[in-house]
Amino acid sequence: MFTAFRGTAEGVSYYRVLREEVEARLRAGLGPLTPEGSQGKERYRLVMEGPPNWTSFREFWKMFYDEGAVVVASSYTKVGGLYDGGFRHDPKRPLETLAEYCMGCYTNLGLPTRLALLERYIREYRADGFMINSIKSCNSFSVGQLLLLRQLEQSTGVPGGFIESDLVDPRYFSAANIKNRIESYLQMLEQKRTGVNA
Amino acid sequence: MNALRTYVGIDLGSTTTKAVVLNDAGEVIGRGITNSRSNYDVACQVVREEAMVRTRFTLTRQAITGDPALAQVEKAFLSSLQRNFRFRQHLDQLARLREALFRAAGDPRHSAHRRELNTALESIVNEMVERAGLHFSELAVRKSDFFRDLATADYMQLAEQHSDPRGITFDMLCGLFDAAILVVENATTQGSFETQLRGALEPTLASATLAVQEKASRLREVVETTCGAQIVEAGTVGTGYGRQRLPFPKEQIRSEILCHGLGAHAMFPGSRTVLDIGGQDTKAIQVDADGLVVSFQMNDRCAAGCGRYLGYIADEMNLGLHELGPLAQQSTRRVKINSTCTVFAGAELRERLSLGQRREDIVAGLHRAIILRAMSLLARSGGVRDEFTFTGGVARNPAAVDALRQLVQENYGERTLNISADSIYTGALGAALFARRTAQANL
Repeated sequence: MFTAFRGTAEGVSYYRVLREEVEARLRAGLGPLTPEGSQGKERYRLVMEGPPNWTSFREFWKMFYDEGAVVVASSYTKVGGLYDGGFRHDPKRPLETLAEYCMGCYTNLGLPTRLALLERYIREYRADGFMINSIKSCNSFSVGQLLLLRQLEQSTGVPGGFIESDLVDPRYFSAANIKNRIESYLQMLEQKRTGVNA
Repeated sequence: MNALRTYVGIDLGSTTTKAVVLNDAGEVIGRGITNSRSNYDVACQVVREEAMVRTRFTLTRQAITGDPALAQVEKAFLSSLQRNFRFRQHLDQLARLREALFRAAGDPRHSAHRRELNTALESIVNEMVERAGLHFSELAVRKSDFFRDLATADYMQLAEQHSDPRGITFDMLCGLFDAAILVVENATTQGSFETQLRGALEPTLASATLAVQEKASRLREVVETTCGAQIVEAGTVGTGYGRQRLPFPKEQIRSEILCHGLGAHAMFPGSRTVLDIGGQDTKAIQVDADGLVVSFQMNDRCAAGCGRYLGYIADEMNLGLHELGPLAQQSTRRVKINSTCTVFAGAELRERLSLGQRREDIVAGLHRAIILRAMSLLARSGGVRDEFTFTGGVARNPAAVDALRQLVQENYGERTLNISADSIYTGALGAALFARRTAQANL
């Protein structure tokens, strides 16, 4: 939708319907809709950094769903521009705004700007934590991620998690290893919440 | 006697499964270890029984030390009782092995030489029974406590003697053993503790010193009480690589990261950074003053630079895993190894050997290579803080410890390095502590 229907009438009506649905769910106090139906109890609110694993996406997604971890904001959805930051294409300045759009794409931002953006998401969405999915075949994302992890932890006081997989190469997805890290990370968040008696 | 409340932690590792039993005060009163044998349910049951046996021995020791009349007999009597008990367990398992071997030999494909096969097996097992006593004598140094290891070593040696390339071949005997040992290992009932302990008591008393024999009736009473003592498992927590397979509800399962952090904190309360190098994974963990994890990193799907890497190199060099460290320590001019990939390192090893480089220098380079990989995980997790605790099977390798000490010194300066002889139980200890906390919080 986002890539192929941008600027078309179909795209506009799609996003209008989507927005109405999201607002209606919000008013009704419902969480996100998932392939398994409504997300039940929301136990952890996470900001996600990096692309998802497309090759085993359902399995990957289920690891979060099963633990009640909800992704409240992410950097991958900003690869197509920072519309939530106010950017709009202007038909009167088509080339200029196209250039502005490109400069605003997440992967075209420098490290300090990325850091500021993620900090804002963690605060605005009251996230319990943030998780980095480090991808081997996308350097635009993975460069500097470890530095980002430490700096975000320092500036927000929120603990970060780190997993490794791939966007396109199915051989790089190890379900047992990733599940282990996600669960360990979420249990760490739980322990941080409840203290020594967790 | 009131029922004893215990808290059990079980750590299902890829190589070994460990259990730790705590009492109400949080003291370790029993421990067990077994090989994971690709069957987590069985490993879990076996290790639990083993830990409970040790718990009963702890109770026996406490009863003896607490009894002024028995103060002098404690040490000699208990170690002899334990040896006799282990010996009886070993004989029980040999009886099972005998049964399984003959059942395997009964397969129709062996019908052509059934009689010769049965004769060979009979002699082998009889000699194994004779040798069993040696494994459990007072001065015996056992390389392993696992029945599989002891039985395999004896059987293979005897099979070589009793085989004949023109009749009952060594391969044929090995095939039977491979089938039979699995049956023995996968049987979970190790015989009742009471029967075996009572059985071990009489030979122990018969061979004891006069001073001990004088107290025989009191000692029998103590052993009877221990046998009858009621032990309640008030809480259980499972962890480790195979934790999804543990037969417990989800709330009783904790990540190994959290368990290692808490276990290391219990062993060395000053721990702030924990490094665990196990068979399949390496974990770098940062903990706070309460042993709670604040950050961690672990290796990705590739097991490069883990315990298995050293195992592979040892196999390539025809060495035992325990010989690798001491060999590396003889190095005078360490070779720089570029790869921590197990397969590439094997190729690099052969290349270096063909260039005429010394084995000890190459092996020293390999040790440094795996520690360098661990250093990168440590850096990712937030560095090495004081105190620094090293756990897992690789912490037993002196050359790995030397390399780690040196690299930590170079990169972070002076750090206190803690290594416990019981470090293999770190995860299980953490799990047992979680079990105790949860149970006591719910009281």
